[in-house]
Amino acid sequence: MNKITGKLLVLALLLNFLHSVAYSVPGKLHTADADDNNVVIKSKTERYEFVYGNADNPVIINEQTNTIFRCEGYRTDLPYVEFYDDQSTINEVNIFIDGKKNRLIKPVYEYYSIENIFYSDARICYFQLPLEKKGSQSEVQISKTINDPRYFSTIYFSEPFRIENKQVIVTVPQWMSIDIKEMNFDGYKIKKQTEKKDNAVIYTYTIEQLEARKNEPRSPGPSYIYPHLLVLTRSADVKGKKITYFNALADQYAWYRHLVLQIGNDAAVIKEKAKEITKAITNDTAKIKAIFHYVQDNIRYIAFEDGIAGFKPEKAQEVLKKKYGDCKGMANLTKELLQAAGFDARLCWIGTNHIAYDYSTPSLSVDNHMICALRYKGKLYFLDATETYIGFDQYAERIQGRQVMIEDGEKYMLEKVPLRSTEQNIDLEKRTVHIDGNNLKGNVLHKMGGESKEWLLTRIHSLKKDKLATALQHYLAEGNQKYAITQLQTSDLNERDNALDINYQLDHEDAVSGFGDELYIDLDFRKDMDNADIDINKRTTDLVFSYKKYLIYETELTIPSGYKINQLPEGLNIDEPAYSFKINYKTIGEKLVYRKEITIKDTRLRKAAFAKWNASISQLKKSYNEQIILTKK
Amino acid sequence: MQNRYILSLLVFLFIIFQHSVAQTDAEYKKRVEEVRKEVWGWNIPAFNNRTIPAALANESGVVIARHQEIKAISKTKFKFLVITAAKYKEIYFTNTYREMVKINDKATLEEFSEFSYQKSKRLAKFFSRNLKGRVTILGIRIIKPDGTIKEIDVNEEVMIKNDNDEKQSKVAVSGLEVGDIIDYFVSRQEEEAVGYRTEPYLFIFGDDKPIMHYSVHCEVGATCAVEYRAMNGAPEFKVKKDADGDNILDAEYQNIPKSPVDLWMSSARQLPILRLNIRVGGPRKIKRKEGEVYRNQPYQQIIEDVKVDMKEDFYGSQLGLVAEGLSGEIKSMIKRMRRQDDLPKDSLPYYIYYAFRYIAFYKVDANDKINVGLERNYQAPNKKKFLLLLSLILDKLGINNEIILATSVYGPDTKQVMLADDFEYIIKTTKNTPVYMSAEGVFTNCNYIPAEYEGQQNPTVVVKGFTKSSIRLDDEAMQNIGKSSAKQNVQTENLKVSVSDNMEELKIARKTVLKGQMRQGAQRHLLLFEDYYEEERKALGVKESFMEEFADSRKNRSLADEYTAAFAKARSEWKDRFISEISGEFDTKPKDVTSYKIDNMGLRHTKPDFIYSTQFTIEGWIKRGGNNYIVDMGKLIGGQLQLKPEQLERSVDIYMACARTFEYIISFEIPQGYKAEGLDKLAVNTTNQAGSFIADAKQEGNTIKLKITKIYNSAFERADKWPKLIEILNAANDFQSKKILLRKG
Repeated sequence: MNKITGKLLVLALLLNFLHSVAYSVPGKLHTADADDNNVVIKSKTERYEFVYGNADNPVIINEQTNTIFRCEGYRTDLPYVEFYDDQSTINEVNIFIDGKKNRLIKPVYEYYSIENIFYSDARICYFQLPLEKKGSQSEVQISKTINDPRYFSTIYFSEPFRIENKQVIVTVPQWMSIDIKEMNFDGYKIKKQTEKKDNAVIYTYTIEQLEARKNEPRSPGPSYIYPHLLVLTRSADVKGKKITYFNALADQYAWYRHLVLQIGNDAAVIKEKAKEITKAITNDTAKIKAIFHYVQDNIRYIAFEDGIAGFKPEKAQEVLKKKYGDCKGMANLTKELLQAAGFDARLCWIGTNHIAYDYSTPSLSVDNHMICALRYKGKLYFLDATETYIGFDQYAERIQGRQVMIEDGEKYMLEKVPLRSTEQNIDLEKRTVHIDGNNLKGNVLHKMGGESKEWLLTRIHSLKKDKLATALQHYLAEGNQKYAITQLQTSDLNERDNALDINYQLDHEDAVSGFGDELYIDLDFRKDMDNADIDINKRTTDLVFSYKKYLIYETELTIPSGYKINQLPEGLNIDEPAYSFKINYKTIGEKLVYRKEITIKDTRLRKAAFAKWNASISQLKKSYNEQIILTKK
Repeated sequence: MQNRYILSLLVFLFIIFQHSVAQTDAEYKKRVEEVRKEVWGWNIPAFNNRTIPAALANESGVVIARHQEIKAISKTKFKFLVITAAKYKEIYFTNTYREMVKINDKATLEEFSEFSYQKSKRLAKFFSRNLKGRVTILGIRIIKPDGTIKEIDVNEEVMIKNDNDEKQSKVAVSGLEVGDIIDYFVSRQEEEAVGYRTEPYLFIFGDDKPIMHYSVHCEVGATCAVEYRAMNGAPEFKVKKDADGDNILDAEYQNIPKSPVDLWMSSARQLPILRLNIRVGGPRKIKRKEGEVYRNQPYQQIIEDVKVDMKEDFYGSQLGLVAEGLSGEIKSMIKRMRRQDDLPKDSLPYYIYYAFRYIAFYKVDANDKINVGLERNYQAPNKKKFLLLLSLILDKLGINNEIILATSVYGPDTKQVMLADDFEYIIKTTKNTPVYMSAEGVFTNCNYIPAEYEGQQNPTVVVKGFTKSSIRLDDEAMQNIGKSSAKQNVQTENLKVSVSDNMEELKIARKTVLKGQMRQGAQRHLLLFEDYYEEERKALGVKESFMEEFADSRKNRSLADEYTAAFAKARSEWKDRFISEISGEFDTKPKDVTSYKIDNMGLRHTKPDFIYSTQFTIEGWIKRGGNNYIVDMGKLIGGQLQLKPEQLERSVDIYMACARTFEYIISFEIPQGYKAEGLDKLAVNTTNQAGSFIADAKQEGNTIKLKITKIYNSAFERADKWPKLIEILNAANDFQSKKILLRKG
């Protein structure tokens, strides 16, 4: 084949026949495949230096990162992503392929859309970085500026690829006061060097052979698991003028408060609305609940993470008018309505359980959420209207036990959101059944509270009304056509303070197997957690359950006349500090009662407990495999 | 003097340019105001309605009124270029969609709570520096239950793209609550300068909400041509001309019930649909007369259009030249092959197909990106160009063939086509026994027709001759594409099942055979490039693999190492693919997969079945009752389709992928010391016009032999056969809960 035809052919084949593969923007925490050692970071240097800025930003941080990637196995393109936002700018990007500067790769700069967040100021600069062949190296040099030291709060060591050597160098001039907290250093060999030079202190951290960051579902937040530096920016002396950042928590509070004072709530509008909501209600608690539930019910949660607006709540009357808001907007509206109705309500800043820190380290990384506190008859209550279906004085796992900073005029109060026991989230199913041929028939009652109820109601309300009844049936029957549900009744699906009750008649076809004179019955239809084993060889991080669980599953079977029970299975009794699995069988007269209780007491299952957990799950599965035998008398 | 003239020209251009930029924002605002006034002022009585009939009260949402207005005009212009001048068209398109929806629950509220749209986009810049490109204007009003109307300020937006060429914005609808009516419009206005453009529209009279009133209004300038087609009972356009000679088209449909859209449907054949296409310009392209309205054109006209398209592809991609080069390459492959194998004449079309597939999908060039993972298996060609080129190559190599213009069962049939793109191509050789060729992807066999094109009556086009730079096309007679039967599309599962020593797991040795239409998905999921490349290379008689080639070349030697590393990575991820295949098939994750291999890749028509073997264990399917054990035999047939309660009633015809058979041949080894009971309860025989589900069980020595067959007789069934299909589905579901007892002693 001559050359020209060859070229044409390649063109024709590439351009015309093969669909191009979509160029996708990688996720925020892009991670390499678990076993992907094809690319390694040979070395990375991150330099941060505090320098004088301008009148608007008297102190800025210059950030210079140089990353050298090496191809270990086969040539590839890797997605390189650098984040920035309203508080930072990317000044320059230089790319070197095998030592030669590449001007053809043009980084794309665009807004970064994050799932479930309506708008964020996060932006990305991204491009495909080629690694031309095995052993070749590509380098990315990025120069960035962080415009406000308050936003410079963490430096992580881990990367999406395995690192051979990384250095983090922080240069702090004498006029700048910061604290550097070393977080999660245990188990890692990180060398620290401190050097004084030219009226500055230079901190150098060096780490070698660090594994790639891994995205695993249901992991603790990154601040719990990866080694990093928490930078506490105290103050600066800029040419004789002292600027206090977050020298103490009081400074952080003062900064938050100055934003809160700028809100501009319209007392008259709010008062009118509060009056309308509490009209004809005389009881205080009922008034409080009415206001809380009004916000839960009528304000759609839409998340904004937008620079300074990410810290300043929207005006209460605006949220009321728009019928949507973020956590700050909803907390502020709840607070304003409660105050207008005569209650002592305050705004609160809180870090959810996704964050490892508390307010002992003042920093913008400490909190990520805002709720409302109510002091009533000497007791504090917390109201988080972003949890659409949770009841008053019930708390979601993500805020339970978390430290909360409550506004108190010029001062602040530090409290903790109360812990709730597993009982708050009860998920009870009680079946009273009898045998009819090969079927189990009878009545089933469900009772769900707290986060179990919230989980179900959130899903139910995301369904179209005309499909709701059949969808609920489908959910309860786990999609099994033989689990026939009739006369389905529920308590009010918009009610928040009481448990959700579901009641129906059941005809579970072929649930009984007859062999000779014996009937074999499986009394557990749900078999919760039967696939909850953890792949110990693969999983690297602790496992986090979304909330504390308390599952009770009870089947009361009427033993048909003319039959007796041969022997009852042993049951199960596992009681660990973090969880318990209990199954027991008993007979009461002509009734056989099967009762299962699964409790997740601690939502964090530590890696060290995985082996025991798997053994427990194995025992649970074994228990599920036990059948009841009824024999003809 | 001359310089002054040039200078003044530059200044003049500069002023115009400045002016247009400076005006952009103000102009946009003015335009928004005009559009708002116009759209909110539409005199369509349906938009004044606020009452929902009682029968629709329980719907999640109801479309009270929907109106779409299309406006199109084009003007011919000249642009003076440096050396010459070009003729082009300035076109102005407006597409305004207005809808008024009653919101009855939170799910529908959520649906309308945010709008994300492209606010503006510069289109072809060269000719149209001063044209606006694409501008989208959004208007939203909320009508409260008491009748008050509140318009949303759509400028309360967030910009998610804000470049010079494109702006994208997001608006959260404020004040919207359940019980409200949302009345919104999206008006897309385009000004562009192009030589040619077609703008197809689809008006579907069916949605997941009932629609009380749906109307369409089009105003198309006399310089454009319009074609339209009403399908499946959709209303016809009423056509008239206005004073300027523009064509005015109107259609209206009322009280459209909510449409079923989920299981086994072909919307294009089942829902009332009105299709409209506006054509502007086109010297060498498909031609229509300006100012004409073409109603339900005969398919013969569309065949002519296809021929124009074919010629465009031929000239545009220089297919004549490429075909010459490629047929040369394939010819030398055939020569080499003949030296080692006797290649009979009638197998030549097959060889050519596989050689061409090899060049397109298998062959590796040193400049290629290394792609040996799953992504490679999912590559698909531009079918039309692939098959046209193949047709030319076949022709060049002496294989007479024609191109069937195939219609998908999920699109309009031959009599209903409106655009050339409604046809796909299938090649048919015309000498001796016909051989069919299609282009689904990497694993498509020669003489295979994809299920969606089966059972159709289609026209044919033939390449009468071509050179490097010209092609002649001709028509041939209509052809019937046959339907594959349930005997040809088969999934057979051979399962050897035994019980683990601890009596807690079932050990399964499985051999799966996939035939006909059942293969492609599993092939894509389970095959490794390293393996199928090698098999095809050898089958085609290609002497040296690319790995050998690279290893022998000084320049590319390291590439061989890199491919070895990439192959190793793909192979290390292979087990997970089998785990997911088993989990999908049996609706449960296997505890352990101990063995997995491909027995036959099914790459060719000579060995077409895709066969693979797996060995694994499953927990939870054997349960203890005292000293005895219950075995869930029914679960061995894998997950079965479970109908949702709302799917039990059906009034629309049933479009399945193909007629098909599932066969399970199970031998279950009874553990020593146990006797099996309950075999009699495993027997099932449900047979009707739609298909059958038959299970038969017997014991031979210590083994239970079980044969289960599920057959769907036909890909298509009329709605009245739905109860018959449900009988089959129910029989399969019933079987899933079948058990046997292993009694001790």
